Amino acid sequence: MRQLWQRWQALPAVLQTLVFALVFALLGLGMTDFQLSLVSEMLIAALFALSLNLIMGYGGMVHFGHAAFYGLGGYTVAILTLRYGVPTWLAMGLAPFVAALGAVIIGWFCVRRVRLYFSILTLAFGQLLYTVVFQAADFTGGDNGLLGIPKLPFINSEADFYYFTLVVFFVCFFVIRLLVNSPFVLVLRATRENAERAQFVGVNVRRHQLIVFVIGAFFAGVSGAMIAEHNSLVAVDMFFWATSSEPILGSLLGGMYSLVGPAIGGALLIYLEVTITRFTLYWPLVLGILTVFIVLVAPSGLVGLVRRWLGQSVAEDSA
Amino acid sequence: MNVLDVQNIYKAFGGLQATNNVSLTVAKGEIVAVIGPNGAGKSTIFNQISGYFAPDEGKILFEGRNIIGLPPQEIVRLGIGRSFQRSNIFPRLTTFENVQTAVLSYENKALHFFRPTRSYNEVNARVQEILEAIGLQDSASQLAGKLSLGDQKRLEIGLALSMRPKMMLLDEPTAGMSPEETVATVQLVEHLAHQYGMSLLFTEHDMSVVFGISQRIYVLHQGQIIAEGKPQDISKNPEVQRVYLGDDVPHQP
Repeated sequence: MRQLWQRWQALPAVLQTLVFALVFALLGLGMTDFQLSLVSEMLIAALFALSLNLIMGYGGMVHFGHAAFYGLGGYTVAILTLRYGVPTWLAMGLAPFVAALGAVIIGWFCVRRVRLYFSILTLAFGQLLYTVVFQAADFTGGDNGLLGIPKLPFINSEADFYYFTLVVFFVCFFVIRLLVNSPFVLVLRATRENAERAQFVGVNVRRHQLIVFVIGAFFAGVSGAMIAEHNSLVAVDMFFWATSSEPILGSLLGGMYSLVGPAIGGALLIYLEVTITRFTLYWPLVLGILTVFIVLVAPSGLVGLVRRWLGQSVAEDSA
Repeated sequence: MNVLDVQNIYKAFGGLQATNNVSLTVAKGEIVAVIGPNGAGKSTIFNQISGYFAPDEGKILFEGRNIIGLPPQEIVRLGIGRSFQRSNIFPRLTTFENVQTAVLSYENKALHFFRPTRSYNEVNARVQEILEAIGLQDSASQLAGKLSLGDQKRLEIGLALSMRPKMMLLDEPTAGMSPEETVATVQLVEHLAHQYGMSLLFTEHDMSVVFGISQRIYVLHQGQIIAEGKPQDISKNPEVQRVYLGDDVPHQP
């Protein structure tokens, strides 16, 4: 088993990513429409968790306002298509850039503070945006959200959307993987470990933190745009702070100090939510118990458990 | 030619005059110690030189250029490396990654986003070279936080070295070390200073270290410099003996 794992690790990143993608593509052939839709949603949640983990796991910046960029991505698609008649593909292409632009502005203020103060600022900005979207009902639909986002021209079935999601997810995953192994993220991890020392080896810590904040927001914008297209609607809840907590819990469940952990955790939470709400309405209770269990028993998440089993160092966080 | 020229700096914290009209110089390649009892203001002076905070008054010239007001990351790029009193490293990165971070930063590659770090052959060769210079090549893949205290101090010096400093500020480089570790570290520091032609400005409690390697000594007392001179003159200075050294002065040959 360990030998197999080592051989797997020696494969080039492109091949690893392609193998994953191929497995999902084959799985898609045997799935019902319900399953296709569910797995699409899981992949979108996984991407959202990955985007947060760049900031929180690798950057060590606990971010309670990530929903703002998920929401910006979704609402960009909805508003551009429904209010201005922009083609869906163009609106979806612009969405991540709108989210990133929002992050430049919000992030510029937030990275001026560290630790708890940073976290509180992100929460405050997130809720501020939520309130604005909620109140500006004429433009945003307010409490009702916006319905009837047109489908992309090449999507005629659940299977089409599933394969589209696969492509988007794995392209993003591959880019994030490159990032994680780059000098940028190594230096980012150093700022997480000791921001003061990083300064004294010549790192502009704030600039580094702002850049990762914007990159994370970009990918959150992608996932927001995808979920808007999947549901054909956006709801103001996309901006709510509880939405920010989903990728945080996903990262905890999967394992924060790894590349794939948050993706697995984020996807698993969607799966559990859908499965468990079939039996009971007390999903939040189950989620609460699960969270307590993880934090107490396996603080480095599922990936941490697997790594311990493989005899690796738990703290290792390069991909 | 003086590499560092500190002219009449003052720094107060509330009512406490932590630095009171301090002037000092370090020539190229010179090894200079600042000594004084706890609370004399040694670290405060280092913090002002390295840009952690600015003096209230006075000038700090590095190679003739006033560096007051520059942020730490720019001062370090001008060539003032710094190691800290308590070991100050990146604990959950490996020893190799610690130095790699510093070298990448020095070479302005911290904002490279897509190329794998392991493919930077020149950077990694330099990291290897630094690890060998500080004697940590065998611990390259260990998490830095798991190193012994002495090795963490060496790693710290390695981090400072990565920035190709012209001058190093060492704040108690042997604090908390065993006698063997102290000797090894002092030899390392002296060797590196000669090899790279660096100036050193350091503080130290261990008088055998101070008198062993410094060429000149400043004595600081309550934020003021009360004496300056060669080690043999300092140990004979009655004022210094009274406020600081007591009877603990090692006999010079």
